[in-house]
Amino acid sequence: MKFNSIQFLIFFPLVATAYFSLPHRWRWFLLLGASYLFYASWNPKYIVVLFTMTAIGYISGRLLERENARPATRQLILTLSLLASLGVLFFFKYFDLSNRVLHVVFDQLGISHLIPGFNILLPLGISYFTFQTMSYTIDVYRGVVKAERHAGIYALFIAFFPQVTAGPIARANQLLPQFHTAHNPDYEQVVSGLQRMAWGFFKKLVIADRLAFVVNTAYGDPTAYTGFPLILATYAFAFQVYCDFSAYADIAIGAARVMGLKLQENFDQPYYAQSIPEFWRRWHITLYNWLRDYIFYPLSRLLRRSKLGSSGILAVGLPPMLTMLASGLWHGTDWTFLIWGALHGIFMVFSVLWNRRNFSLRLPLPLPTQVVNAIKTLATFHLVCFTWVFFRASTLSDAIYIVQHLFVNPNLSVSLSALMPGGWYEWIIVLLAILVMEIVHWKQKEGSSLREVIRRQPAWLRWSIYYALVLVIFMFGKFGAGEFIYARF
Amino acid sequence: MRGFSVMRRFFNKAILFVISLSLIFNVLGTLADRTAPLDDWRAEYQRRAIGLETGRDQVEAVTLGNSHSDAIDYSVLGMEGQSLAFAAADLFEVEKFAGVLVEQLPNLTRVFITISYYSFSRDNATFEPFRTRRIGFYSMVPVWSPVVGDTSNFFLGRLDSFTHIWSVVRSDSWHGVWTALTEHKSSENPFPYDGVHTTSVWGECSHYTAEQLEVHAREIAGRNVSSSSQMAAMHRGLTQDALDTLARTIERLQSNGIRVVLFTPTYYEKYTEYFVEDGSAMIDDMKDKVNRLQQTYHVEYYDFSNDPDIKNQSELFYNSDHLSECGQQVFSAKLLEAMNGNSE
Repeated sequence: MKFNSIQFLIFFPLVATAYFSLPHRWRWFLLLGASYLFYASWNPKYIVVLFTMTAIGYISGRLLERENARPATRQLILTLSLLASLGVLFFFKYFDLSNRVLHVVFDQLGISHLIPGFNILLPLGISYFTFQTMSYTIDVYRGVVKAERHAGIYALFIAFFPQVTAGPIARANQLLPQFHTAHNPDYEQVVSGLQRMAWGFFKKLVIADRLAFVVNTAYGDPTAYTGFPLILATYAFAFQVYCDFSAYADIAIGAARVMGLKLQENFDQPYYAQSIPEFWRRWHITLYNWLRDYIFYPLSRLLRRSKLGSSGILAVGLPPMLTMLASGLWHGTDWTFLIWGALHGIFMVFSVLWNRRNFSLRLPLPLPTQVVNAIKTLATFHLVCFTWVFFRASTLSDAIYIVQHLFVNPNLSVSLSALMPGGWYEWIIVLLAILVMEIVHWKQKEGSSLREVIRRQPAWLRWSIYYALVLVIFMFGKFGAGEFIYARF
Repeated sequence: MRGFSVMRRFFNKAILFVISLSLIFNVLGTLADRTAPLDDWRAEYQRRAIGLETGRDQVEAVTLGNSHSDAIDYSVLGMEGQSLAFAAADLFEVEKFAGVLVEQLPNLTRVFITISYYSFSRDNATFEPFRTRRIGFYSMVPVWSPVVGDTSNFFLGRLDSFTHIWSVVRSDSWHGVWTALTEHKSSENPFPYDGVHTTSVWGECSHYTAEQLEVHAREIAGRNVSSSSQMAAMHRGLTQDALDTLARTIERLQSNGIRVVLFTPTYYEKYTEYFVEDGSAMIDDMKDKVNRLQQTYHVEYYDFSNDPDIKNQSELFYNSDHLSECGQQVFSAKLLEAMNGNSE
């Protein structure tokens, strides 16, 4: 069941109504049942994967917290738990690639390679719930959280339907206690949750799925284009991927909020970042925090204690580089994702070194801070756009072609309708929608909450805004376009 | 108690919001359908449905499938028959439609099913604008269960059969309405035919010129291959599912004593040439699957796709993948001859 489907439009109000109609002690049961139904509607067989991951996390947590467990035993339990979680992830996500690589290597060596490929469908959201399980186990091991005793509530923590397929990746200390707390219906919270969901649907259906036509056309057959269409499609993808993924987060956060639950924010206007490290503090925040806490920090500590010390280029450069490579690998096994991660790693290392050496640009003219900041924002945005080429391209050769031909024969006269069916009309809709989104972002940046502004309006105007938003979504949304981009990871 | 009153307050407002929104949607949808109808096939289908209803006791043959099914002229075949071609219909829709007909037409003895080059690579539910057509199918054909996994479109289609609520969602994002309102085109025929009308040895024919056919063939063949490939990408195992669906359809019809005839009409030769450029594998797959059906169900199949007497006669083509009225007569005569030959 996708968020942008009729089924969800029926499913969610029913679940939310039943949730508030039940006494608190049964709510976990309802949400767990609804979450499994939500997940199984995609592919019932793969619910076993969710059960397996839940069992790994729950049993490990309970074992880790046994009073008489020795440090060595605890370390062993943690290691086995992480290996089991990663094993499941590896089997589904990386096995076929590794097998193909081994096949090539064995062929070169003239040795027969008999392990067959499985060519199996990747379970929806596997990277998210695997990371959630791993962070829970590590946090229990470190004593950051208590192991959850209630198996049902732990299962709900892993499978909670708003975030099971594409995050935000929840932390145990943030989400688990909320399932234990009784939430009374709160009118303001319900309205604010629905507003957030509507905003997500606007971004997904009106902007992202419309831009998908442009991106799919150019990136589907990049060799048919040079110059301007490729640049346009790359900018379009930058907005498509942001609107698509942040829309998912909006709908997930809004749906949870309706039921009185708070999920972590996953985006904070990333394209306003003034550097790549800042971009990563604003983009897919929960994944970045995960990588930071469980890869970057431990690695940095390890290197500081090693012979490399804390000042060598390796000690400074290795943690961000490996963290970003892990981020690339998390997205998939294609070379394009690895290069995308590596590029971000390089930009990160460069940024860290730049800051450590206290470099500053000597500009010929004294420019106002706002102008300098705007230049930094634009530069960061374009670096990110450059990396998106690798992220979106179907193959490495496509990505290389696009990079090589971005500025070759800049054919400005290309027909816009060739890239987007509907031509100028569709372009105007998408540009207006982006403009609306950016005005909202700008207002939020200045510290004013749009929700508060709407709440202060007279009832007739408030309702008119709601009607208008819903009408715009239905009249100008692209329905049936498909899955959220990040659900496939 | 406080929670209960909060919920009641919210529900009252939510119900009011949904009801008023439905009314607004219905008004806007009606306006849109009247100002700028999205498809001409709806009106044509309604005409056929009325014809079928009035002659249900006489109808002994029907044609099912996409618009290529209109190749058959029943007056030439000498049968009381009717085309129930549905624009862009896929084999999943054909199965549903056949189920309805078996129950509604007591004297039905023969069903012709069109097999186009891409018939086994189509699932309209996978993306726009074909998904809107699937909704249209559910809206116009009285089916009471969805194609497997297609509940949401079924729900919207049934809703669409008695309201205009879903007409607010238009695959053209209201461009047609905008154009009609700003350029005052509403009084004109929104779907004018851009071909020519000539008198030939076959009679009065509305057809494309050779130049128009070439342009149309290039565009439509490319579009058909591309959309079918995308559908296959969205629906894993599509060709096998489509084959199973057609097999079930044939089984059901045969078990009701109905003779099933599969056929591929003639296409303009350039259409086939352009289709083969990127879609030869699709055609090979289609032929392989039809062959399997023939072996299993002993079903008749007539492939006229490359008929040398028709494929390069521009007067016989309404456009590159549809026969003109003159073409339908020529094709039907050849089909009758082939069927008679087969019977002997």
